Amino acid sequence: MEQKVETRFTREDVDRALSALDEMRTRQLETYLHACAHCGWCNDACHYYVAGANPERVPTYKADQLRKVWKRKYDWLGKYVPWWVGAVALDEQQLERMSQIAFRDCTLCGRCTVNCPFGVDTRLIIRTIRAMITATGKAPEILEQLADAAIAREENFEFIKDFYLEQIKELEAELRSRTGDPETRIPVEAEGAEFLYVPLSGAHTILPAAQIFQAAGQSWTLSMFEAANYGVFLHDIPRAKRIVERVLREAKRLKVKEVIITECGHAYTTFRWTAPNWFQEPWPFKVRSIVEVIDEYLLEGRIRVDPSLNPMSLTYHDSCNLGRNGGVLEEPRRILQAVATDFREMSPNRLQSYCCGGGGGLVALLEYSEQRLLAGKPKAEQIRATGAEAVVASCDNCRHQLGELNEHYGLGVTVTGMAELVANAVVRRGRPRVGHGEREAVRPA
Amino acid sequence: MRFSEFEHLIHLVGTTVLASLYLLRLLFLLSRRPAPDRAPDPKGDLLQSIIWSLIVLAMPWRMESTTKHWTRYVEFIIFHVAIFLNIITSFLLSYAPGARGPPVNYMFMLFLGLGLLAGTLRTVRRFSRPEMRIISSFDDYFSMVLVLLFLLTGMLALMGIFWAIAVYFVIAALFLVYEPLSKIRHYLYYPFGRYFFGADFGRRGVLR
Repeated sequence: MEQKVETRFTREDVDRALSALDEMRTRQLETYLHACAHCGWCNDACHYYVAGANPERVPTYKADQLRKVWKRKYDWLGKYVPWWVGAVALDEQQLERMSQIAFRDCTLCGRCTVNCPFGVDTRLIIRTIRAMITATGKAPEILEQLADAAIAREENFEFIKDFYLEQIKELEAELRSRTGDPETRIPVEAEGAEFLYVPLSGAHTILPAAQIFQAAGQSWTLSMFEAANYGVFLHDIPRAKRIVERVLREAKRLKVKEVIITECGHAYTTFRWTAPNWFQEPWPFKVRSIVEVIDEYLLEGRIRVDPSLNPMSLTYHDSCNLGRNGGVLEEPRRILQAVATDFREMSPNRLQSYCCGGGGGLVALLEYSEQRLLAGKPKAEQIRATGAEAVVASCDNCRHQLGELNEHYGLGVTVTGMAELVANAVVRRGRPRVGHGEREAVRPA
Repeated sequence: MRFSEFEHLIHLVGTTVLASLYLLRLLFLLSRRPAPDRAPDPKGDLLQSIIWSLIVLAMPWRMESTTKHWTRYVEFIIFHVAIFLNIITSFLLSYAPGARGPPVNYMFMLFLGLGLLAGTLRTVRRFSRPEMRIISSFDDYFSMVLVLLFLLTGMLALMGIFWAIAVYFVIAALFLVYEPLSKIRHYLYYPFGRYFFGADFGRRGVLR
């Protein structure tokens, strides 16, 4: 018997949530809701369960919070003999439990799915719950605010454009200082550029990429918008679509050949794999991650790097969205082999890599910080086991979480991004090979 | 009614109910719209990924859940092979009793016995571990008990014990009617689940 919980939901919210569920019953969702045999193979695939051994954190228990409600409404036995199959009617209490599980107890990492004999996509089930909660208007406020702020940015862009361009000028000055090239620029609104580079709202996602593009002689222009999409974390497709449309319109207007996403897991997976399904027309450009681009530069010799400038031992965290869900698995490794002298793999890695615990929008949900840090324990132990001095992550939310895990578990590592490492190791064209004296290498914490 | 007519009736009614309910389930599933998956420039080979996904259970080294818990994987294989052989047993007993020469009979009995053991271990695990109890309903327990009875009576029926044969066919009938309503129906959705997994992850170039 489930314990009673305090709930902010009303009967009307329950009805809205059920309507939302009805609209999302695709063939895939129905398959996964039917297929689960409750075998428990996914249990220790989940970092939440591995971290704390709380039975309520096993993936099946989480997915069953929707499955029980779905059985009560749609399943033959569930409708007439609900207690036999554990079916429950959706009420305010159950909706509250679902909300907590969906937004607090799951990062949508997919590790359970790749270890399930049926391939049950727990991510899809949890996203469905998130969409049901969003439909009530009572999803976590910060996620809604961040999503709405992104939309408002485009709507009010004429008012903030001058301020934004001023900020870019300041970054350009910093870029010139780093590259030693007084002519170097950060192009914006450059029609006909080959790449539209979409950063996050932070200089650390702009400057290293700009250095690398400059070294490669790349034709590019900086997007006026950031890649982050909190509509995705809410599983609010109309909102998520509007956020993507800002970049889509910009890319079409500037007639770019490719949209390059900064080091951001969910943004990459959204632009590359998910968002094309929201639009009827195919996009007139390709989408890639900056990590894929850097890999290509190195393979083609468009940039030269000096690995001695990254002398510390380092390990790589496979961001779930970039790696397992995005397919960018080997590129980061090739890059790190090229730009560093001591690269150590975590175990497990790639498809089986543990989530850091910061995905699914969790890093923005401060009320769940304690659970998030506990859920990151398996990742912390993976990092510690490598003995590396630095951990590289190609996702900003992961970097944020890894930074907190570093402090919380006393790992004593530096957390850095891929582009920063590469920019640090780039040998500038026409200049002598840079040695240790000329540029400071990234040092361990 | 002679016993052979009773067996035949069980087969007819049971398989008709099973097939009808499964057909309804399949028709319903196919009537649901598939979520689109048309991101351009797939990174992986879709066909290869789907095939890989469909046969992944024959490659236990490919999933952590099967390599880390290899004994559980062996139990799973034995258990399901035993159920499959037990279903064949029901047809052999009714329609081809002559095919049950000693080697075949002993092999079937052995597998059914091993399946019974594997199933019992699984049931004990479900009762005894909190992370399994929390995801288990009456259906989960009843389905397992029904399958264990099916295996047990199948084994006894192969020994030629007459009352066991009668009970076996009653259990078989109950099994055939209960299966499409219960969690036992999960195998009907296996090809769909694996297809979607292969298509989704395969498109992203993750399955290599």
